[in-house]
Amino acid sequence: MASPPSLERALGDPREHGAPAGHRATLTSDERRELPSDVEQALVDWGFGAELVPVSLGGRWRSTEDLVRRLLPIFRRDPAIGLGHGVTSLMAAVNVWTGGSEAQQQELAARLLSGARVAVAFHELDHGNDLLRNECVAVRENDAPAWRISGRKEVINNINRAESVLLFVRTAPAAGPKSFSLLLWHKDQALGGRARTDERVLTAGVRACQIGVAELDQLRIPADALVAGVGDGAAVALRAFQVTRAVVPALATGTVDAALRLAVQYLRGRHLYGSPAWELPHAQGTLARAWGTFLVADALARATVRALHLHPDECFVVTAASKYLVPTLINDVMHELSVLFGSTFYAVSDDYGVFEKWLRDLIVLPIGHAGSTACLVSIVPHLPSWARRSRKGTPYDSRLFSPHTELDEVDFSHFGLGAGHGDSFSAPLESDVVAAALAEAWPDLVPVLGRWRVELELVRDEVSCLSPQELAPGASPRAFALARRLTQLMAAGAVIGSWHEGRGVHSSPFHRHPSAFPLALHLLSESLPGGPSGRTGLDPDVWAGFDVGAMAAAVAAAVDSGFSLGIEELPLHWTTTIHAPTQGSREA
Amino acid sequence: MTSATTTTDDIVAWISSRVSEYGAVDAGPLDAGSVLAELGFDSVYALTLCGDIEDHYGLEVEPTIVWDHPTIGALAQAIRDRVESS
Repeated sequence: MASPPSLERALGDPREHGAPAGHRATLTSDERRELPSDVEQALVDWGFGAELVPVSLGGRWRSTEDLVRRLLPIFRRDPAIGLGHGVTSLMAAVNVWTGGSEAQQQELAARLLSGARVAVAFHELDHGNDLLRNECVAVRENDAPAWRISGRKEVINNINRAESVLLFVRTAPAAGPKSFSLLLWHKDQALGGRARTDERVLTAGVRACQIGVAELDQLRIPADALVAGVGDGAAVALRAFQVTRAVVPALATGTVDAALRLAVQYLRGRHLYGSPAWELPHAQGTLARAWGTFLVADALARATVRALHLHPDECFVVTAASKYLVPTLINDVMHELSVLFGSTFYAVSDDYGVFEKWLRDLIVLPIGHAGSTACLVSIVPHLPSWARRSRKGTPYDSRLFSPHTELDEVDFSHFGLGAGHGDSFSAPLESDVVAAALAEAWPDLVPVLGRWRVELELVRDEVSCLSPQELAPGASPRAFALARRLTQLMAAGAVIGSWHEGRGVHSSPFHRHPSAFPLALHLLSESLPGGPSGRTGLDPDVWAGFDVGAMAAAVAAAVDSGFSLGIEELPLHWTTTIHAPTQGSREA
Repeated sequence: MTSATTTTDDIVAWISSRVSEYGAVDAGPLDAGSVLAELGFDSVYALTLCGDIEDHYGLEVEPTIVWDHPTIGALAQAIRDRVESS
């Protein structure tokens, strides 16, 4: 299938008043708590549903990195549309691609291709991310080929308007992971009983999303609604959600790209102390910190997406690491930028009001189906196996960090629930090839790599001392800290690997801007034990040797030339020219 | 450590000793019929046991092996099958 047209081109410059999903329209949609119907229709016409369907089932999804690239334009405008239109259908669908029968997969593919939605009804408020305590019950009827379901599913996106719903239900009373199953409820095939889905849940972020409650009372659906076997629900979901744990953070980086873009425009237009705020060293330092932190987040997010194809056995831990650390870093960036906007952050304005909305939206990210803390909890018990296997050494895999890697379809059967055979993300830290390249290009950074190597050894050693009791969900602070340090090690590996593979690639920020790599690596290294606390801006005493002005100018250069920001700088192809208030802007 | 002559009974004894060693689970007298979940053996202990299986038998196993073989005897048999075929 030929590549679809770029959504960036189709939607145009979001700063233009009247643009679909433009900043003004996005604010209105947020205030009304309604998704914009024109944009939703445009997405249906564009074939959003086909993005969620693997090529082998007639859709457009082959490389997940390409899927991310194609959907990023939505998140550059409004994450509420991305989630609400949306990405939650992907969360449901991946369970069927993982565990469904051929007939179920074909039927769901046909429905998605026609623009239908699937809600993902797992969540019960009393149990948060603790799936194994869920109470919504399904019973197989003895005298009829049907399931009978009763219970509540809460805070479910699109529950009312979705044509289908994937339900996570209890099918046995016993404690333990084998007591849950997945049922795919096509609303047009229900056999009886009652289902109320019109109770809306109002949220502070992603206000336009149609989030609600399903109240099921003896709902009867056909027996063939069962996805995988009875009792397989948890095993299927824990595999399938690895895909969405990788994809959602990678998409959310699009909103940060947009926020940085807006910050540049704001700083240039705002005059303080007789000159543009842009010229204030503190403002430049704040922007630079935001950009550098963003590069760390995007490097980890994007490599995690590639890992779905290249190292699926490692993805249980890797995707949990990304879903923990990337939203955390993204929210740090948004907070940093809110300082830049100053009092404008609180004003509802056509030009900049959307930033405050994005900040509210992105706070949702660490909650959701795979909450950030839940992700950290799920890493903890894998730490001993991780240490054992990572000590054996994992070969450096350049494909994981290269934007040019060709990725074939995801093989859902390859995802596991263990720690994986090795650790391809910390491998760049131990690679002699990478170390030699670093010594040649950035001799000043060799000691920084050395500190990360020491950290890797320390974490392995400390993990080996953990007792089983310390690994439980009520884990000791020490175990939590070690899991967090592992996610940071993986981010360091992703940054260094992405530099190594990107340093000769035209679209890589590490090629385009000499300041990008040392900035990203030094910022991440602040998280090493003994690093500074209360980090904000770039303290002139600490960053004296760095050209902070050049860092800010790098961000502005990408914005002026109409390129995306992040781990890939690609032309946005907006039809309108971007007019910067200062000289030096040029067309893409 | 292990050999082709390792019997299922040996593995039952080994699993029982590991489970007792973890301490937090309600060990008592264990045998092939003991159901791990009933011992308070949750997913964390399942992962810990998987790590011990890897160290002791040289097998990388998924934690689902513990879900799919709920008694010590069934789990021992599953390990025995994998040792044989490895």
